[in-house]
Amino acid sequence: MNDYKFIFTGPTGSGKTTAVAAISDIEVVNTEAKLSIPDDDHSEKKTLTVGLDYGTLTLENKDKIHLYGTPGQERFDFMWEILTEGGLGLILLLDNSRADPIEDMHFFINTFKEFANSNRLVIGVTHMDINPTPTIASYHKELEAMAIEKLPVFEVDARRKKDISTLLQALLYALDPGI
Amino acid sequence: MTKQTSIKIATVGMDKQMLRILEMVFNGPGKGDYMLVNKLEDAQACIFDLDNLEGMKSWKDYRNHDLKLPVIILSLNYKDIAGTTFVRKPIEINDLLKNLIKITNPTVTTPHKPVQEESNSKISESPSISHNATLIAETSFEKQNAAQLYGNNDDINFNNPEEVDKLFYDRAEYLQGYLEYAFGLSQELETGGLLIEGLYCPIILIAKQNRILRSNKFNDNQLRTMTLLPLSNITVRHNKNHGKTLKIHLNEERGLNIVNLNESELAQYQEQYSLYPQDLDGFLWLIALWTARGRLAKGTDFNKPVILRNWPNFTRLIETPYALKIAAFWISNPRSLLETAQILDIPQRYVFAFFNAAHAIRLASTNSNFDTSSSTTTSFAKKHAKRGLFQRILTKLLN
Ligand SMILES: Nc1nc2c(ncn2[C@@H]2O[C@H](COP(=O)(O)OP(=O)(O)O)[C@@H](O)[C@H]2O)c(=O)[nH]1
Ligand SMILES: [Mg+2]
Repeated sequence: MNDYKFIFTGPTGSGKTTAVAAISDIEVVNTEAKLSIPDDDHSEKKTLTVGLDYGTLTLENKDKIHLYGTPGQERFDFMWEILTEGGLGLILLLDNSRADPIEDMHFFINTFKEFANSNRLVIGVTHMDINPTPTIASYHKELEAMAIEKLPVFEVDARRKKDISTLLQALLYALDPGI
Repeated sequence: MTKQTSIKIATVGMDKQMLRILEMVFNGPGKGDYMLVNKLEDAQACIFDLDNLEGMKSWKDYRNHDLKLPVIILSLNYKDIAGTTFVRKPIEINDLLKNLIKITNPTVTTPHKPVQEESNSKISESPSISHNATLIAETSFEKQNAAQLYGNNDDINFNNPEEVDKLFYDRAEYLQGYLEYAFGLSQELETGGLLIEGLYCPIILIAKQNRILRSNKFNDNQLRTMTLLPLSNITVRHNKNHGKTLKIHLNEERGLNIVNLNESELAQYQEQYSLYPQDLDGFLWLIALWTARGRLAKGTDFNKPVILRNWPNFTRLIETPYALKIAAFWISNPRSLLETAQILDIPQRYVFAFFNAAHAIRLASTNSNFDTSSSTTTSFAKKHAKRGLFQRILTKLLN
């Protein structure tokens, strides 16, 4: 069985844990991943533990799709393997009530360029009920200025399963409109 | 029908109509357990309507105030405010009563059985309440009828000019055309909003925030009826001066006035007419679906490739049948409407309905100089290696 996964990322409070829980078949757990990172002065390695949200989608043929939620704004470079191997797509959640969500988008898109460039990225903007601006159109405009290909950017409430499901469906269709 | 023991409820930010409905609910299904009072100081609990300026402002004052009452927050959008209980608008009577019981009697965790059951029967007995209940329940996008949105035309034969002719309608003859005209104007405003007068109730477009302000007196049924009436005889006047100077025009012969409002006028209108916000693109999208019912706006060329400028915000728009598939297809393969229906094997009316709605919010066009910049034609026929897996995930997500 292949280890396919969807990764939910975004700033702290953007709704990652909630979104994973909204669609997961199992209760979301926080798994600890041990990462080796080079120490700054010494050449030996240091271990860093990060907590990832974990849930699953069990398909009709019993295959499991793993759902991971990253921590807020950690050192993604060291989690790269966990995140990218078998990664079907990346769901970037942005919190519209934060000070500068467009700036947040820049950070995450730059971090996960690989996903953006291969059509494996969708964006869900949360907390628009609290802050209606920036509008979805402003995000598209910014993406265009960043020369990112057209990708789904939807308003979502992470607590609504239907919103998260629609976002994932769009990701699948973007990968293959023929499905 | 108030009783000695009636619990006193104050309301904040509510318009007269809403108050009347509450009064009827309290006296009817509420069996006189509650009564409205004017002052917060006299109340044992209160209800804030946060969808208008007065409610929002009073809420902010109240928050800093010493007085701490059990609070119900009403809004169209979920509000997660610590220490309050949220009730979504349009209000469902049972929902409201259940939450009133909860907040005024915190030891009761399950609602009184009688309320649940009797309130339903009371509603059907009393015509006035049942009327108002449906009136406030109607403003949701959820329960739309497919024929009203996509029509029920079979695929048409494009060699038959008569059939082709019937496929087209002129937006300019319907409310849709006026609203889209106003939408275009409002997109140019940096601040304030654009008022349309002459419909049942004033509506205000604020394109920069993707908001439309509308009264709940103007419900979806009335609105849909208006979209179907040819309005060709109506004149439209647009005045860039602000609202006050223009009010005199209101009763001048029938017509629509389009008026630029500055921020303070906008606030005034919002308060005076109890206008609530709704997504502007979702509103125009729905108007276009209702008006077209599977037809196309005059001027659409069904043989030219469709340019989809961006993915529509499908979580907040009516997701027309096969919309995600069509959107993904157009983003990567700008093909004509006819080819799209053929290649994807989708009834034409669904392709047309989606296109026409996306066109209304300026996301789609068949005009080739519309922005073809980043369209990359990927081979649709090429099957993705993981298609089977994707289909299984999709099936899972859909149920
Ligand atoms: N008002 C509002 N709250 C939301 C929305 N999406 C998520 N939340 C809430 O935001 C909070 C933070 O979510 P969480 O999943 O813990 O964020 P994380 O740090 O990214 O894992 C939770 O209380 C959620 O219920 C939204 O669209 N609107
Ligand atoms: Mg979390």
